Amino acid sequence: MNSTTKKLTQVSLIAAVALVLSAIEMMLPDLPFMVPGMKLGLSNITIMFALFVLDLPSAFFIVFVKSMLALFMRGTTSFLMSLAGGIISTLIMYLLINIKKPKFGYIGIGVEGAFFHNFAQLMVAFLFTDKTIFFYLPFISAASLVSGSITALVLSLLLPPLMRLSLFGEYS
Amino acid sequence: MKNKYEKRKLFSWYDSFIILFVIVIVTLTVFLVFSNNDSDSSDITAVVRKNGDVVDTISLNSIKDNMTKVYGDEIKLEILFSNSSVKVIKADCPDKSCMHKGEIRTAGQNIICVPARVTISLEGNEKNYDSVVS
Repeated sequence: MNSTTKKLTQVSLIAAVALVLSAIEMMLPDLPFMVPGMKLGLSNITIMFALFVLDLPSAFFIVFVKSMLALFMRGTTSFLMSLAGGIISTLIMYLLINIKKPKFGYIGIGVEGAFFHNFAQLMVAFLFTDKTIFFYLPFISAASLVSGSITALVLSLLLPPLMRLSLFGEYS
Repeated sequence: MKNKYEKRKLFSWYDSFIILFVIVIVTLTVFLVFSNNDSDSSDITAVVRKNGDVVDTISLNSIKDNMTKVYGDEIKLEILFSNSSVKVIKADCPDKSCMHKGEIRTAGQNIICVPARVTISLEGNEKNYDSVVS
């Protein structure tokens, strides 16, 4: 298969999965003990997946597609928060994945990605409002431990069988 | 195409540094956020901010009848102030997370609506050091 066509297909497929995961998350009700409006971050799985099997530009493309969904469904503020969170966490995870010397595990990458995703979103929210927003910092930081670990666990289970499908990777 | 997923563990020993980093942030911020809530709860002031500027300060004790006020420009928030509590009763924003937050009634609690750029925080009376500093 033509490599450009193949890559286009791969990126589109992952982007579609990201949109479905985001849509499912939007339908879930806010958990009472959590920060209002806070989501699990399931679609982070797709970003991390893209970083592992494709490249940085592909991951950024998926971040952008995800932000467009936020723009249409929830407005400009959500778009900017989604974009900022996505770009920062993608960069951080890209760095952690490509560092050779201390080789981080999936959990480390997932937690750091989730943390900076939430942190960047909070900083955008802070720009729009005031210091009251930092009340949420401990909650979103603690939540990134959980959501980052879930992302890591799912990815570590999904990657080996998906690679065997030869849709992604070198077997094709 | 090279697969970067191979030979990576679910949990590496180095990951504990990352987890420790996040835990330190949590503890530090818990300390910062909840350390200045030692004001007495008998006299609470609701401070409403828009775009970071204080637009309203309402002493809850002075309220006799419940009153509603509307804040925001494109996205409007209708807020109900009563003698003992504050809550958002109507919001134009799509996700309504500020309404799901429900009532707030003690010092240190807050309601935030990022789309409307509005925050409401309840502050106790012993905030005098603020005016000393500024």
